[in-house]
Amino acid sequence: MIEKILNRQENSLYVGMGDLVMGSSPDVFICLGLGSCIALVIYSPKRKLAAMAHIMLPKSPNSEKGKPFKAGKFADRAVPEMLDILEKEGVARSEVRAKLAGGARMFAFSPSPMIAIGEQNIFKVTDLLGQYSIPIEACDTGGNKGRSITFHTETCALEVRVMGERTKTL
Amino acid sequence: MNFLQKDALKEVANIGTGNAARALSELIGKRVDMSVPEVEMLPLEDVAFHFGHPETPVCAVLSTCDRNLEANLVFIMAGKDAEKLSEMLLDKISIPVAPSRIPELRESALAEAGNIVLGAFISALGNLMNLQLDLSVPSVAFDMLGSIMNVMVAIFGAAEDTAFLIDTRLSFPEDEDHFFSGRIMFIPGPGSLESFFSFLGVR
Repeated sequence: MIEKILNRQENSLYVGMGDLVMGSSPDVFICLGLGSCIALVIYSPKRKLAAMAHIMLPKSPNSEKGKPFKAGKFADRAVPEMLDILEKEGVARSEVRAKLAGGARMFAFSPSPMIAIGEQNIFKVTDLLGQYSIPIEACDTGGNKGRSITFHTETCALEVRVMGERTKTL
Repeated sequence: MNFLQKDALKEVANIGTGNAARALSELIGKRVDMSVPEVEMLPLEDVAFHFGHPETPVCAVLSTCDRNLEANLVFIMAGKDAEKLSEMLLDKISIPVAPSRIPELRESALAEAGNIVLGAFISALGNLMNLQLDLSVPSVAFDMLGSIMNVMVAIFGAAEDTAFLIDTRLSFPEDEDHFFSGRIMFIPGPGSLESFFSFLGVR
């Protein structure tokens, strides 16, 4: 189904909700239809190596028991995991950068706190990147519109599409 | 979830949808058909693609029920169908309207249509379960289908790697020019399924 819809190229990597995916040039990461979720990419421009997470929620549950969950789901688990993966590939912490997009609040009038989770996601991801001293090269977050994004490992360009608007390249 | 529970949910959704179809039919004065509800349990990574291309433009009306039963309800129409429905509703207004106010009126007409449809759905559930179930003020978004679904199922992330929802369709196919199809999604909060089953007396 996904293959058919995306008309997938050999080197494109689809990053679904809660996924954490690693890739290198010429791979292209794709996230379609982000709402309150955040697509976070941590990459090395020098090595053209990147990890992308499709983050759904700011914090993982406290309890250690229970089955393991998807690696990219929680901001507080995804960020250290992505740094670990890059480190294992021999990328120095000093050369990594971050770009992010998402975290929209699409239903302005909804009283449900879950609908406002986008703002908490942005806050948590930004905070974590600060804690690990990862510079944020570009971001397109918040607002009330959903986004689709593409990240090119070759050029480190992040393309953001919003319905009815022109594609932005960050 | 066992077979009996799944069946009970389908039946409940069927009653809700029947009531919603009747309400929409009264609103627009046309026959409205409904589909058999589907109980969907989807891995999170499949949600974006399951209901069609994630970048399909849609109009979604969201209402939340947070007392006695925690659930989100959303009425989703393809962008073109939403336009048709709002035209039908605005045609019923006999007073002249300034053209500049039409987009605003369309949005509130759709919010109201969504409110009526979702309200009918939830009140049928309330009657069945003998509970007072009220919906929040409706909120409208014009956006990509995938983004709407993304927001709807993010709520499940905390507990599960699976999204759970009930999906039904409403349509009025009788005249080709006004073909319309919309879907109602009923998305119970992560904790509320258990209470749902105990209300229904299904184990």
